[in-house]
Amino acid sequence: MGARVITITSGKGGVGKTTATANIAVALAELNKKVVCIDADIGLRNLDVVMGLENRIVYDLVDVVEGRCKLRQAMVKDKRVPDLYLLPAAQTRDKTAVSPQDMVKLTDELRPDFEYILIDSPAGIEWGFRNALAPADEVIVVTNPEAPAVRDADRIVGLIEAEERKIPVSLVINRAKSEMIRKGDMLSVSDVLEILSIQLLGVVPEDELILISSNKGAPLTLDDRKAPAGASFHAIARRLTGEKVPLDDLKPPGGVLRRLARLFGASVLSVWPVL
Amino acid sequence: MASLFDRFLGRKEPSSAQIAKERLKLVLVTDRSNLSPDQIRAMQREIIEVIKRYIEIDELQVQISVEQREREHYLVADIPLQRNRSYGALEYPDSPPTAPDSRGRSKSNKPLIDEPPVSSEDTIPHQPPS
Repeated sequence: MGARVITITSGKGGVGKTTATANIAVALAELNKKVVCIDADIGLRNLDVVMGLENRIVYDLVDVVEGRCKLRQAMVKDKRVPDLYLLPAAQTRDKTAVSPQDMVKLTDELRPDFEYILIDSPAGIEWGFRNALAPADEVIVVTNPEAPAVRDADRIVGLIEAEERKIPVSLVINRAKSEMIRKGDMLSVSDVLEILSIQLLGVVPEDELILISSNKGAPLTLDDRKAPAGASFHAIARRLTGEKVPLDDLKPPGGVLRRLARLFGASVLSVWPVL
Repeated sequence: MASLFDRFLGRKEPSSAQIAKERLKLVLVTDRSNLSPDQIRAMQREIIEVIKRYIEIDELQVQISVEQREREHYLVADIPLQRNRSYGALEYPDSPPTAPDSRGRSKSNKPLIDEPPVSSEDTIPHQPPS
């Protein structure tokens, strides 16, 4: 059987699918797993830029599907980690250039040589999403703690549940702001879980270093273990391998004094409202 | 944000996250069921009509909602029957007040609105798209 095919999707755009894919992929590779990422967002590819591999692309997914090159020729190796490859999307074609059957065939060819195949799904629920879903053994739904993203995540989960084959779905809540959650101005993790009722894979805090890392093309999980978001993605990768990693504490920033001040400014019960 | 003083008096405005959560739950009723809020109200009216043909009910207290347990959904109807009608004349001088029910719903007999609202916890089952 070989690799597990994990599709990362969200419904809504801009919640951090591509960032999550890149960071989880790097984190898995750092655990010495053999990993390949497939960018399924044909026409709007971005995983290459987030991973910092955009200058080394020769062929792409559509070239492979249409037989212009061998699968191996299109795969870009990330030299910073032991065993990580990117299969980039085509930039000048549209989603209909690839079919769900093509995706199944492609991943079946990759399965024997890898342990994890991560597919970065495009936003939306149409062709591109269908392509990304077709070969999936598991799905990770990425959402943000805000109503539009949670609504779209619910739609995606509904669509996956409506599939004939049962595909396990888990949730990553990205860009959580502990301070806003504490003030009651952002949906908490338990609010989101109550609405979506799916298994929680991880919570990733809002982190400016994420933007800086994608500016540089160096996913946060590559080196910066102190970065809060990087640590969360590392934890998510370890959970994917089956390790029991406790959920990250979204501790509010600030020292003892600020926390004390908050204690008096807010009711005692709302000190740990994040989970 | 409510001040400490407000909190002391138990005055609490819902936080924006609570508002978001309630709005989200309501919009998901429509999303998941493919029923518009109008259709849901119409369904409630029709259910009440059918039941009234057979039994006297306290129409103003009827609550029909969809409850979510995990990712399964249940249509749940709370339909209080009209009391002391078929038995007739048994009356107590000091009838105890009606016990509040487990959900702490208001037992006021005055209609607050014309038709039973969709409760804010309503959600309606996913229907696989055809």
